[in-house]
Amino acid sequence: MTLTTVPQHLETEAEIISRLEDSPVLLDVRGLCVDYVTEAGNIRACDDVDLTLRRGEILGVAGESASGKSTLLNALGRLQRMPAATSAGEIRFHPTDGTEPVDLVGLTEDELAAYRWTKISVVMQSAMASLNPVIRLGEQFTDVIRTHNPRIRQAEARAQAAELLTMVGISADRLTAFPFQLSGGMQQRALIALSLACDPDLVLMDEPTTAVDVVMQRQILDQVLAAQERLGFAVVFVTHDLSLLLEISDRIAIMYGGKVVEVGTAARLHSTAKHPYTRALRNAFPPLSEPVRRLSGIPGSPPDLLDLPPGCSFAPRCAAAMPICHQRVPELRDIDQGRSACFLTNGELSEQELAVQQHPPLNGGHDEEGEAL
Amino acid sequence: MNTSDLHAHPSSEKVPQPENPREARSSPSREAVPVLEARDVHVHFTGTDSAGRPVTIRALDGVDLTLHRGQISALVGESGSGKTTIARIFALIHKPTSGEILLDGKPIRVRGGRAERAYYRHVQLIYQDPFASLNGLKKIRSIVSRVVKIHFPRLGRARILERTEQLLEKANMTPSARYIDRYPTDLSGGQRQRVAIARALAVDPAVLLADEPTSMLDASIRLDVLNLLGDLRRSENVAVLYITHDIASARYLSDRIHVMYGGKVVEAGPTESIISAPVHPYTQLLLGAAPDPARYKGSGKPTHERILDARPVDNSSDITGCRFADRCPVAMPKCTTEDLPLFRSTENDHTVQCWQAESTSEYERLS
Repeated sequence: MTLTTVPQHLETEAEIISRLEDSPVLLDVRGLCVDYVTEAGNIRACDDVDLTLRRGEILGVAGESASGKSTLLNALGRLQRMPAATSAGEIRFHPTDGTEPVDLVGLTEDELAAYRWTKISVVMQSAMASLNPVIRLGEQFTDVIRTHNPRIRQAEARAQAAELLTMVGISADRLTAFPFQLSGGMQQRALIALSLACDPDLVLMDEPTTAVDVVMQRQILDQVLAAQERLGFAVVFVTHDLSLLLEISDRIAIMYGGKVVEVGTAARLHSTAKHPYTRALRNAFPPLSEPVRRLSGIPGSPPDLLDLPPGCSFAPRCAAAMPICHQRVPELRDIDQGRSACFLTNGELSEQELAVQQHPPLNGGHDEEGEAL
Repeated sequence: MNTSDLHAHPSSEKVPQPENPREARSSPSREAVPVLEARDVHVHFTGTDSAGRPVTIRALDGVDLTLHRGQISALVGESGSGKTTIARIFALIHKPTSGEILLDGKPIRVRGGRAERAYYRHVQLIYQDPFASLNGLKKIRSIVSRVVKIHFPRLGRARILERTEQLLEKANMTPSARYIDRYPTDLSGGQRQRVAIARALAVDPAVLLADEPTSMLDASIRLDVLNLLGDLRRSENVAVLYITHDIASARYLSDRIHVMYGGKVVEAGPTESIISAPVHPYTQLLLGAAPDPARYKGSGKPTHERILDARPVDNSSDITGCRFADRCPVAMPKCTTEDLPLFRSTENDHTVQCWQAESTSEYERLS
């Protein structure tokens, strides 16, 4: 094992914010809805999602099972198959080569081919399911490289493949290996190297480290971050592990019940999260270096997307829920440094309305758990 | 799925009182005789290498481990380090190649039959996947009461039902009437794992072996299962072996941490001693690699030293000394020429199999 101390410049929160502000928009998602068509009715797994991704940004997407995070990632890459379908919204992609922005939602499969690998690539959770088990690693690389740039000769593509593998810490002689001859961590790194083969602007990563050990996870993340610093691609990183996202992401979007409920920098989500769900989720991960105290999970279960409550979908589990939370869906609004979809913090209610909501008249009906977080 | 229940019973989920989950830790509740003990256990499997030649894989390579009532011992380490093999040895699924296990100080040598059933009255296993460990065709009532019937054959029907309800309530499935006639598929992952825990409690066990009990669960419900295990340690005075790859949760829940590498317990000790003063370079690597919310981006805290090359352990080769030496940043020649040493702290029972302890005055050499 080599432990290499890389002199990292540790950006402050302000530096991260100004770097993002100076960077042009890469992906602009507006009102994106994805439905799963079932016999019991349509399930809206992504509901009115707005996101902006800048060039070179690492955006973390955190949420529990069935929060819609993987559905969102598949929709961004136009990877979903029936019964999933994008039913509304646009995904405006601004290529870094200066060509006109396009709405990925409106493209046909043939038109999308020009974007796959070269502009947007994908890393999935299971490397063994993504790599072809009966083709040697080298051929899988040269196939991708030469399909997207037929002018490259075989030998040249081979050299590029060797360089990509070396970049993720795999010896170039493994190009002749079959995927099953590599360890799980190596397979995952090979997949990441493959996703970078055509120098994409955006890499979509769906739980790329969930199936591997903590040391291997760290190594894979380090390879991704080192490659990202060198090549400057943007990343959308989906995982349930909020601790991990806090360490690697420039900004984090929290999803719940198919909606984005909060967006903010890692620093803000760590210290002053504005949505009760974000705070509860953060408290669900025990600390490693800070003092230990009794933590509690979030009472109840994630919402049933077929039978969502009328108001905020987190309200039934929320200790700070007010009467209005059970009646009206809060909007995801811009707040200082990020966005929030909670009536307590998104500015949708005036201070006066908030005060009435928080201290309703005694005969005012709803009286859910009153204890504040 | 159960949001309607939540409306109907908003108070059914307990809000735990803020308290230090490990306050009981400092009190020396350790009995003289451990309830369950592994003594110099070796487990060898025969496998094949990449060329198809048969090789001996040392899944466990001389493990000593003791479990005490009222204590949670965590076992951490990477895949292939032998964590699950220890649980399987304790559950009598594998037989040690050499070495022995002792229950209440008496060696166990049973395979099958009545003696094995008697052993399971004391030692119960909680599996990782609550979607696979519960029979989907049976109601919760029959899943839990079956164990009661088998182990307490003289109980009448009314007493069995009463006990089944008590067990569900012990596992925070309250009110039990709400769950008892449901099928596992009606329940969430966290609820299923609590049914599995209720079932394990049916025999009034002395030891619970929990192999990654929360890794299949969502973050928001994981803590409730951990808190349940933590509370049962005291209320049932049970010993818990908590196997996990998540060292932060091991710190949260356990009284002692055992770090495994290549089939050996390379370092073991009181939880805070392992977390704040790890001696073995592998423990340090594990702690450095684990995500820590306090090191959020923008915090100004360096995350760790970057790990750009990691290799999985090879348990098949016959070596002298330390299996971690070829990955170790501070390896010395004697690490691979001399037998592994064992050092113990003079201040607590923190032990480590590494020469690094030699240079500190706090550690004395035992072997």
